[in-house]
Amino acid sequence: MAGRIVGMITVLTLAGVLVSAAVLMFLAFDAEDDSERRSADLFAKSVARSLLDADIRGLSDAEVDALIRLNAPDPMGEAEEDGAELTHIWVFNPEARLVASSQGAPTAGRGEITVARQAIRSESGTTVNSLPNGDVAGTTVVRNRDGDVTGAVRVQFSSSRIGNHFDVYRAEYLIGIAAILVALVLGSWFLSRRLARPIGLMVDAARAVEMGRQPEPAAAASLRNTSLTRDEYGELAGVFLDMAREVGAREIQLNSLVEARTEELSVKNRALEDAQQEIRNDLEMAHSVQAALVPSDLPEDPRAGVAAYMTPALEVGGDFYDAFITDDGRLAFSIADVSGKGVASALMMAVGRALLRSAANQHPDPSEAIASTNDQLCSMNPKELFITAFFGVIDMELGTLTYVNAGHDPPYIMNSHGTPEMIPHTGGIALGVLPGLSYAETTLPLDPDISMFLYTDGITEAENATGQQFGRDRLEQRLAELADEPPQKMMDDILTDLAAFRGDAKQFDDITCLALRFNGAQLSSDTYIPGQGDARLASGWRRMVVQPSLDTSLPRVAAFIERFAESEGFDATEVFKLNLALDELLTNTLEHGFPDDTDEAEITVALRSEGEVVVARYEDNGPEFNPLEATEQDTELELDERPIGGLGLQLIVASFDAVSYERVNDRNVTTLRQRRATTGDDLD
Amino acid sequence: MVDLYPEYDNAVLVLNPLGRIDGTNAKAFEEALLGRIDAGDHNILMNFEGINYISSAGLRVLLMAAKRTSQSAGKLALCAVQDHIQEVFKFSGFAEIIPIHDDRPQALNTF
Repeated sequence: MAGRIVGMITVLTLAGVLVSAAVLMFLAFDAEDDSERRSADLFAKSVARSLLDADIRGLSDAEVDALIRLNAPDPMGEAEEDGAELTHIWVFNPEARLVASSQGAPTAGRGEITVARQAIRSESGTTVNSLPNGDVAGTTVVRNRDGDVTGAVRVQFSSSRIGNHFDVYRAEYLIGIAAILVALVLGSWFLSRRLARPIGLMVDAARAVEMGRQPEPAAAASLRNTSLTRDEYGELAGVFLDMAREVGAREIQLNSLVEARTEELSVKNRALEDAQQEIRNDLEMAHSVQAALVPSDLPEDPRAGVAAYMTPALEVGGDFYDAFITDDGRLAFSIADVSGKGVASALMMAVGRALLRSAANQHPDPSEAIASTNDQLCSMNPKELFITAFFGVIDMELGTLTYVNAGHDPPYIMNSHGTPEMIPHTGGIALGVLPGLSYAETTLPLDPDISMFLYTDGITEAENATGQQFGRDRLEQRLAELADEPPQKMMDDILTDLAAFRGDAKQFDDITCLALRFNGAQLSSDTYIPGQGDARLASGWRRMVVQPSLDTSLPRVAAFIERFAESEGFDATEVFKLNLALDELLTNTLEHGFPDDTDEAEITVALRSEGEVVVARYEDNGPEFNPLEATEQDTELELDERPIGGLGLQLIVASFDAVSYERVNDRNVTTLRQRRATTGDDLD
Repeated sequence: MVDLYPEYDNAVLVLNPLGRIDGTNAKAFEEALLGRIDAGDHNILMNFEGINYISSAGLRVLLMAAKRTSQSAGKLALCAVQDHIQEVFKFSGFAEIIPIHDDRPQALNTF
């Protein structure tokens, strides 16, 4: 079956070629034979006619020679046209014995004699022989006028130009070849039609299948018809139809699969979107909560102003700042950067800020507050996050800054005309790294009109579209220009600059900063009004709100006095007296003023130096109680007679130069005065 | 708890408290000290070398201890009291009630 059409084409072509070759050869040979035969016949008969009246038996060679000249060229002229030239003549008697031959003719052999004999015996036409040298010989009988056979004659002539006979038949050849060609063309046309039509159909059908359609019904019908024939095309068309059906079936199956998968995907997508929306909502919520965690009510005080800003790179950030007045009336502030970003950092930030704020109120010394915060962070830090932080406390009455830097970028400090300087690092490690560390703190005196700028690296490392960083230089330059501005303007201008610098570039890190200005303690007037419970605005007063619990407040009051005494250069005895007096007053208030519920107690302690005099003022909101009246204890009694208790207030009165009491606004206000030990004079 | 770092020098119980005696630890101080007296130590020397603060709450405990020992024919004395604390004893009149000696050997001689 295979190769039927190929075979058909091959066979047809071969047949065509063979047929044309055969026809050509046949025509050529036929023409040649014909021409030789005619020439031989003409020559032989012409010579025979010349011998019509001759006595064959008496012929001499010379007479035969004469015959050559007589008969060549041949009388009809046809042979000459063919280029034939008579060369030899032999004449035989009726017994087929050679009588004479032309000059130079080869001796007639047995073969020639036999031919002559046959010619005589058959009395028929000319016997033609082709000779090995290409010449042609013709033998025929000679008759007299009566028609009797008188012998035979053989002629030999050259047929060297016999090929020219071909030309005579050229037209016939051309017609034959043309006919073959026409047949071939017709055959090819028929074949190509047979070949091309199903291919065209299949191409169209394949296109349709490729585009996902079924073949046109007409085309499919044609292909079906084709498939019924028993050749390659039939087979191909059959296979093609099967394939198209298969492809169609698969297409349908695939389509339904794709549909099913698409449906599945869209369900999953919806679930994903829902989940994402949920996360987004959560993050937005977290964002709001975090925004609320960052203090918005920054302390307002004539002696210091604070402005602060934080914007996270993601929904929630790991930076924080804080600024608040501590229980003992100092301004605490901080800035911090939790490693990493996102929710974990945000949680850490919230914890860190709360811990630091609470520690700041528990530990008067920033170093201890930071150490305590560090310990607690370390105990709740599964992800090894850490916090770089700067924490400072400004004693607004003394004009000092005490700070700890735990691995944070040093903030800048500027006087009104000076260049920004970095606040020297205290060399602390970031919080949350190692528990049990102690941190060093540094105290700087603060001149009036000092500004500070705290920031996280989200500012200095902010990049613009070309990848350039905002950098410290740019920041320092702007801070120098803004040194004399209020904190809000200083911060706003820096942030505006930063936004302009960054342009459309993405924010990679949380941006946080805090600007602070200290106006100086001496600028405020003495607005301390006894009994109003708020000594915060008083010039030179250091005030502390005392928690109504002896265990926690006693050490804190002691530390409060310690700090005050250090800055004032008090000696140990003066510190001791202050401690003792305030201790006794506090103990008295808690034990007698609020025996049932100390939580209702509002107690403040305030200290101030007035020249060489130390003033301590103690306030509580307990029932009216004048310590001066309660100290009428006779210190001269013998041991057995001494009552136990009631000593403390007496101690106060005894150890201070002047003690006064007043009841103001439902508060007990006790004021103690003591001249500094160096002067020695009593105030009494 | 308050650690009194007790030791005996012959029949005298020498106590060496450290730090502060104030409202936050007076109760513990009281229990520790009176516990000693109840256990039979009636001659007690308080070495105040390590005490840098005492409030009336502490004085009260000392007064109680002084009374108890005296009732048991014993004695409570102090030694090596820092200057500013000595002043407290002076102001409160306690210096008249509780003997205060400059140093330990001198104090021990009085028992």
